[in-house]
Amino acid sequence: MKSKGKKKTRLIDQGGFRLWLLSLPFLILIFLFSYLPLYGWIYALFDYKPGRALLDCKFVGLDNFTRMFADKYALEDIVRVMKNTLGMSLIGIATSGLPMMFAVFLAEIRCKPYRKAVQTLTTIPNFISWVLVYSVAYAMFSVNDGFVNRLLMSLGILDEGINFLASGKHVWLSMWLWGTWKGLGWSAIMYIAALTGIDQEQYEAAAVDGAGRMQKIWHITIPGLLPTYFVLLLLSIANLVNNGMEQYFVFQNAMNKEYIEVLDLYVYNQGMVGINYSYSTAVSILKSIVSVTLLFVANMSSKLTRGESIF
Amino acid sequence: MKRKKKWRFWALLLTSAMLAGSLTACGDQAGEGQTQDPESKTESGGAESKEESGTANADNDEIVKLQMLSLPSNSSGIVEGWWAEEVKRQVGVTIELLPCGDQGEQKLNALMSSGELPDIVCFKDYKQVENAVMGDMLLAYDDYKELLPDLYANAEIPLRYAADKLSCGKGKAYTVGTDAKLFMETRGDKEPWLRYDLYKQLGSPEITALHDYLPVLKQMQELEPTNADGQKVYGLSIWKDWDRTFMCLAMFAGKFSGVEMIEGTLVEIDYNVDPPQVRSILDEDSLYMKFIDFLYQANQMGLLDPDSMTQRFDDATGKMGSGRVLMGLGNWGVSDFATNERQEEGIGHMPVFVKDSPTVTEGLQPIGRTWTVSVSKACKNPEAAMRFINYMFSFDGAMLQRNGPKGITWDVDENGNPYVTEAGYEYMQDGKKELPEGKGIYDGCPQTWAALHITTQNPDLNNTPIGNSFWEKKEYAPKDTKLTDMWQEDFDAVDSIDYLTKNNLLKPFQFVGYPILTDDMEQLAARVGDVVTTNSWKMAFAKDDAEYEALKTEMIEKAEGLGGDDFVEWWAGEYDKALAEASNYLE
Amino acid sequence: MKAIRKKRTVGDLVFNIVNYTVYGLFTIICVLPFYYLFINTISANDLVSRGQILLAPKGIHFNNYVEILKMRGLGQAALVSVGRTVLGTAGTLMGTSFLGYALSKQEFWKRKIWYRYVVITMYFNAGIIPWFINMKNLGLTNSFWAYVIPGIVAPFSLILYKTYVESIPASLEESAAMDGAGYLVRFTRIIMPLSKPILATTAIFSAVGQWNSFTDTLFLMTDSSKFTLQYLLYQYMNEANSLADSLMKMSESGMRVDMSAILTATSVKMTVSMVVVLPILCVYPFFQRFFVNGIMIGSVKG
Repeated sequence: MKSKGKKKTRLIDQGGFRLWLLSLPFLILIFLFSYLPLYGWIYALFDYKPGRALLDCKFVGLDNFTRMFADKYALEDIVRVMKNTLGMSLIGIATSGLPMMFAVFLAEIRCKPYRKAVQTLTTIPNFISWVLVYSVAYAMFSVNDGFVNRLLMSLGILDEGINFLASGKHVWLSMWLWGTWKGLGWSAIMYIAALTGIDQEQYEAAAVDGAGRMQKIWHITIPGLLPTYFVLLLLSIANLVNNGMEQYFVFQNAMNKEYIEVLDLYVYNQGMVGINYSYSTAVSILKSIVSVTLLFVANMSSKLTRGESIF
Repeated sequence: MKRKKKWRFWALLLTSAMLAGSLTACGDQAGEGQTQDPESKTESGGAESKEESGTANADNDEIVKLQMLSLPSNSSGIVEGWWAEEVKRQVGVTIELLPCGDQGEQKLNALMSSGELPDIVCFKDYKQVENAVMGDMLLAYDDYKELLPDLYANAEIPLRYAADKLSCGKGKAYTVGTDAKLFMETRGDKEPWLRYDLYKQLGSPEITALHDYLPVLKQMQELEPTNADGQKVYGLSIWKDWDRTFMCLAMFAGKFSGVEMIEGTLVEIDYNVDPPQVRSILDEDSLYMKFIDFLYQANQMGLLDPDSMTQRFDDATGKMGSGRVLMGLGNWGVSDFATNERQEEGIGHMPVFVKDSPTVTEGLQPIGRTWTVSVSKACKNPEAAMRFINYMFSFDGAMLQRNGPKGITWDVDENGNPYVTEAGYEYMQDGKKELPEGKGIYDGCPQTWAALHITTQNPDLNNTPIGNSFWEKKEYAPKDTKLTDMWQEDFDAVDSIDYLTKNNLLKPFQFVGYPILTDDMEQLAARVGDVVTTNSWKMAFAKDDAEYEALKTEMIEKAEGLGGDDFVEWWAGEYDKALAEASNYLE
Repeated sequence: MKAIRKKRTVGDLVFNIVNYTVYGLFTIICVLPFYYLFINTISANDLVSRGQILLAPKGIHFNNYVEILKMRGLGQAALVSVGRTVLGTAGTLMGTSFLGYALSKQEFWKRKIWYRYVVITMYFNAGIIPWFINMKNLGLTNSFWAYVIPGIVAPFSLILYKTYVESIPASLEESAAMDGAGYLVRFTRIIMPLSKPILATTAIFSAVGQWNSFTDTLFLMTDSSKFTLQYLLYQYMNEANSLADSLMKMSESGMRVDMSAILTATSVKMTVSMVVVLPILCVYPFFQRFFVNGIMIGSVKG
């Protein structure tokens, strides 16, 4: 309101405000579908039983939030689980440049049909559900029938099959490999789109200056993709504790459990998700808080190091 | 100028909305068209059957559509086929199953929170019922008694239990337990299943304890190291899909060792002693621990399929079906391997019991399963819903659900006994063969709750049980195979139940109401169970005794630390209480 | 394209060989499992359940596909699926791109706050019960609109879109602004055409999301005429869980039943995933055009 006085224009006459008015319907949609349901967070403070009125349910305060850290076993578990969660998330973040590189070098393929075929076919794994991915993994790696074991044995490299899927070794790595295999081609789409937004004049200018292929990539392509990369990086940092659980759920077994249990899977394995609605809500509130905090921390550090904030 | 543009933007939005509207409208019409289509088909079908039998009364009344949410059910949409047609004729109701899938419980929670349930609901556990009663969402059957003569005649005890225990003190029956069992089965087979041809080749060695199966299996494996496709044969192939609070397959090993293990808890009940004794599955001499050791020994001997931990149920039954497994802890896949041709050659799995060990079996359950059925208060046509429930609990409804349409798959002979018709056997052998009013014999009625247990005796038909496996067979019934004959001769009995009964080895579970786990206890069991399950699998695949012992100690210590003993103590107490009350429901 | 210089160094050649090979190998790794699933769907089902199919199909038949295509209500469900995909994607494109564009403008009223207001919703999860009650209160249960309206603003795509728009030289828009063109004109005439590649990306993401989604059907729809294809297929796929109970009981009942008669064969499950993926694969190359078009516009615009 003060700015109004300063600029001596009424709010309604400011372009920015009109733009806001134009956007209002969409902002309202967001409120309706994302903010309105958040009233449900109140369930976390009660021992809520679906069907009963909330006021008939016992008020338990923050019990549901502290329950995760209730005893020494839970604490031990949480430490282990957070190690897995962060470990796998960090591997993901460390390799978050892969889709970008995928797109960059794909663009270097001049043969158009080949490039298109690669681009299309590498997205296929994204459409296969994790359950079926596991079927494939089982067909490849099981001891008896696994393709790999049979091959190795027929070549005389092995005498006895190796149980790859029930191995507790290199779980983080193998999970990362599966995830990358499934998602690489798909996440590259965003960069492929961003690539086309780079001004072609720059390349021509560079060619005139006698820049080689690598130099062009390094000085033009990559800087052109970095804004997209940093935005996505930021989002994945905020997702540090949300690895999801489907992938880990299908691959888990007694042998690899110690290393594969990420937060989401752990909460599920403890058998409280279906039973205790309030507890599930408390966990998801905690996760939301962590994520949003991380988002702002990452944003701030981006401002400090790169001189520009993203949000 | 600008205003004009703005207007254009909104016009665009509106047009696209209208476009979408027309599409949905289209969709609706198409939808109606589709639902009408089967109805018109139905009518013609109905007319045909009228001509044939001449008994069905013309039904021009309006058909009421009822929505049913059934947690045990797997399909959704309007039910069609021979079952649906008969229900429509009898009570003027079509059933629309609501989507539920494996997220049924979540969906039920959401519906309950919104305060409105669909017309008919089948709950999975008692806590859900109590919450619905507390929320005042269900109709009391007692208020509609005159519409429910069959229900009150055939499910008196489940109704009484519901009024006593599940009405939150209101004293009326808001729900009714399904599948109440008042009589024991007289026919049927029990586990474990052994490759009988190989077992006989070895001279049928005597088995006196669980561990005695191992050397026998080893010798059998030597006789048949690979199957016809050249794939390796194992003694046992198990899976982890069903594990909840312990390794689930132990439950089945428990059955032929006279021990009942309770799913979702940490206890087992030993029927080898009298009175049966409740103990922790982690006790030093528990059958559960014996079973883990059994698996460990099997693995050491190369009898346990190394893929057991990573495969799923489908994979394991696939192996059973292709003859790669010598011993089945249950009958899954057993019939897939023992085709008629193989059985005629005397090849296939048959039950081979531990000598003199009792086999426990599901006992009487007069209050029914924990799957209970209720009518919602939000139901717009409660009379129709009650008519439907009453029909389901009538003998006509139960016979239809269990055996198919009368006059086609089964009929009644001159002495008033039911028998399976020749066509009936054809339909049973080929589940895909469609009955006159659509759908095969197995998928005609929705896979959901069944009102009356197969052993329930039908007074209209000389007290014959409802299930057709207990009926007298006609001469055209499929003959016993060579494999069955062999077994019958060796065991001097028709089947497992016959043999066990003759030798006084069949022990039904004691009847108790189901002790309901409180939320805290359920959570405790889940936490301890997580440790138990994980370590059990690791123990089964331990490299050596030292590792085995270390894992075992770790498991027991951790379970104790988490409060596993408290659970067992609490459960034993509840069990005693339930046992004391049980006599109220046993007549 | 043809104007590419003729001089090719040895380095270039090596680079090309390595590049082509690496992409080729990765593509093969991506396609092989799919191929494996495919040959399993057309091979004799009993061979599949015995794990006999590895490299080449045996006993080829198409019954699995026939069975799925015979499924009741498939046509209607496919129509609903296509409808929600087309309308949902159109809605997302409209809402997401306009809001993304608006938020890229520095002068947007309280821009920072509103942008954050949009972004953080990605990390909120209210839980299934409040979501359901909310949808019910909004009148979106058993309504086709439940498929379309909630997806109109997709924060993730919005962020991508905004980032992209920011890379478009501001000068292009400024000249139009000088001529007195309002936001909507500038957005539809200048920004939209220039942002085709990212619009295509948004469309792909949204379309695939719409096509693959089934939980909304499961929770919100009661009328089978509003079921989607993906939901019908999901019913096929998810039986294992709900069956476990019955299977355990089955052993208890002492009846001997063919598993193959009860379980959906693995090969049928694989067929289901084929049926889901194939339409996407058919449509996807069509979207790729926009990526190339973007390049042309990029070179023209300067």
